[in-house]
Amino acid sequence: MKKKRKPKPKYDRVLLGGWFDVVARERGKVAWRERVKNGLTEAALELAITQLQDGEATLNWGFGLIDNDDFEELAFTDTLETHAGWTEFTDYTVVETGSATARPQWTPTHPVTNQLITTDSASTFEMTVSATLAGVFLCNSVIKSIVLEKICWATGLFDAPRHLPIGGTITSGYTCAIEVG
Amino acid sequence: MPFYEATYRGPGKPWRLRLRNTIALEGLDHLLGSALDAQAPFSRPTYISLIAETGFTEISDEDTAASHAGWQEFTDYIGSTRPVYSSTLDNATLTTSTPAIFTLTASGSIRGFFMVNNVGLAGANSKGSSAGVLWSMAASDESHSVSRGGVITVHYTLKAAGGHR
Repeated sequence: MKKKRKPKPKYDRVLLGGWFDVVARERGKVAWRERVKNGLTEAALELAITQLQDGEATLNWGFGLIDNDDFEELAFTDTLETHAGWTEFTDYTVVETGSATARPQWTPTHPVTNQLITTDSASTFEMTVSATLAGVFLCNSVIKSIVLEKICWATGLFDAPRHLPIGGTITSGYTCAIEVG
Repeated sequence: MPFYEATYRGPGKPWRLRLRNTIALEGLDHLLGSALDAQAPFSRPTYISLIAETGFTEISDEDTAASHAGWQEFTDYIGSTRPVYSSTLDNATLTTSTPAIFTLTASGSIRGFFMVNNVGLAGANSKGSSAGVLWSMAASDESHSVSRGGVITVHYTLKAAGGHR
């Protein structure tokens, strides 16, 4: 009689997920708000899970914007250096510092509680040109020109392309949660 | 849940277990914090040890390395320190590269396993220590007998995935 093969056991995973809370203002008034669900990249998941092996502290997280021009898609394999389906929108200054070369910094709450980490203090983009944006991302580089070997932690798409005039601002927060499922 | 796989060979009846585990909330907080917030990260190595049948009532995701009212550690194996768990990473999955091996010095009964990391601080490798961050535990539905001279070998697998909220 043929032996029944045991099915390969399935195992569940550590799940990481989060969202961006984005507020846009024009002439100081709220123009729109959106909670943008995110997708974590492969590099982000590997960064997280390797903390169990031999973790290394990752500092200096920054927000970036995804240009709607030529936007095609987000990919799980996107890195800050290579993201074939989208380009970064960089025509802004950081309101808090006046810098034209920096990305707005993400400052997380400390410590993590209830398996959640979120934004401690806001950081804001101010458009230097009229912009049409597809989405937002979080990365571990706070300087626009530094992309080599940098991780794109998460990307998120707006429900529809978002327009902002010169001088319009975007403030983004980010929350990440961890659970088992 | 990720899982432990363990075998027992030696005097008495051999057994094999595959246990889905409970990840400690302390461990989840620490993993998220060490990835995103420069919290003292987990460091090599990570240690695995045994949960005793004696006094066992339950494991809980609220257990910590310092406090686990429902279980105690089984420490009757060779050496003063907990065995090391070494892993390899592939496609956001950790699998065992070097399993944890326990050579038993007394007979008894085992209920499960746990994993702890010293997060760069001293002490979590010592048997019976309450130091470090508890990552996970697993408990069988029943006890499993072991004998002096027997060997338990333990593997652990963990996968990470992204989810939208």
